[in-house]
Amino acid sequence: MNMKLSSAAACIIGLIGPSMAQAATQPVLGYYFATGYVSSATPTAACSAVGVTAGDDYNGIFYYPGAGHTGGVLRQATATATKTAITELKFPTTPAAGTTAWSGTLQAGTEGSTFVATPFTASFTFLDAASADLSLTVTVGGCSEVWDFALMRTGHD
Amino acid sequence: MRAFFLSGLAGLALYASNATALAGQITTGYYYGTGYLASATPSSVCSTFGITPGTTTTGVFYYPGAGKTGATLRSNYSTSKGTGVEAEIFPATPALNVTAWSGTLEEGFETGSQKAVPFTAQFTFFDSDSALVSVVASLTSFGFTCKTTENIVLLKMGV
Repeated sequence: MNMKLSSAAACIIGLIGPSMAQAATQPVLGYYFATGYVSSATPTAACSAVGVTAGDDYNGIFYYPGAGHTGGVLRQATATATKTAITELKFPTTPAAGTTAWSGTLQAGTEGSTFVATPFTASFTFLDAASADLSLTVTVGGCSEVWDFALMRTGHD
Repeated sequence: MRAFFLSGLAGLALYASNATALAGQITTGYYYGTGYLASATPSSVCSTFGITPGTTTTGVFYYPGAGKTGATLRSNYSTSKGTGVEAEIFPATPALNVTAWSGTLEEGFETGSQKAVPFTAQFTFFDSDSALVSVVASLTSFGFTCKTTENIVLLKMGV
């Protein structure tokens, strides 16, 4: 379903060409629906051990507190036959306005656990005030994972 | 798929002990809901309702705050009986920090049909923006009852 819509929309964008790719408005503070895709997971052996495979996808919610603020959180839901759970990634201060590179140490946790400090690097690609792309790289158990997210605003505080 | 991400990033959390229990009452607002139908019994009745265990749902839950009316879960359904939107209007939410919830909800569809459905529910609060809720509901039609248990993850997405 989404794939067909995505393909159709992508074709439209392809017809328009790069002229619209210059829009780079900073997203505003709020909640964003996040759909993510693992574009890279290396080395394979280490990634398999932690259950990550390139091509995995998922949905969640990202809270963006605005440029240069603390409180950025990415929450991901899991609801399956074996597990119902929430994963939270709490980020440090967001980049200053107009800055797309982001790095530091995030805190990762699930309900009932302590949070674990994890170094990360990330890069925003701003589209408009209510949408952006975010590429996130973390290393878990020797597995370097690159996640590409599309962020679309759903609401505010 | 999602489980893999959980395993990967949340695998970090597995390195830590579970000594710190995280809890916090969720706040008023709209929540993205991802649900899994853990059970539907008896299968002979539930199947005639088009309800099958293992079904996943996506929806939006409005939480009006503790001890307030207006809580509504809207979700998609796609069964052998059709596809559409289902709205479940709950009675007053539990008081602050109370996790058990029960009563009768009103279940409605686009067709206009509406049913009163007895339910029990249990919240597991994570923080002010996320929680788990397990809902047990008994749907009755023409004298036959299907009891369902749905586990739902709630992530806040606005007010």
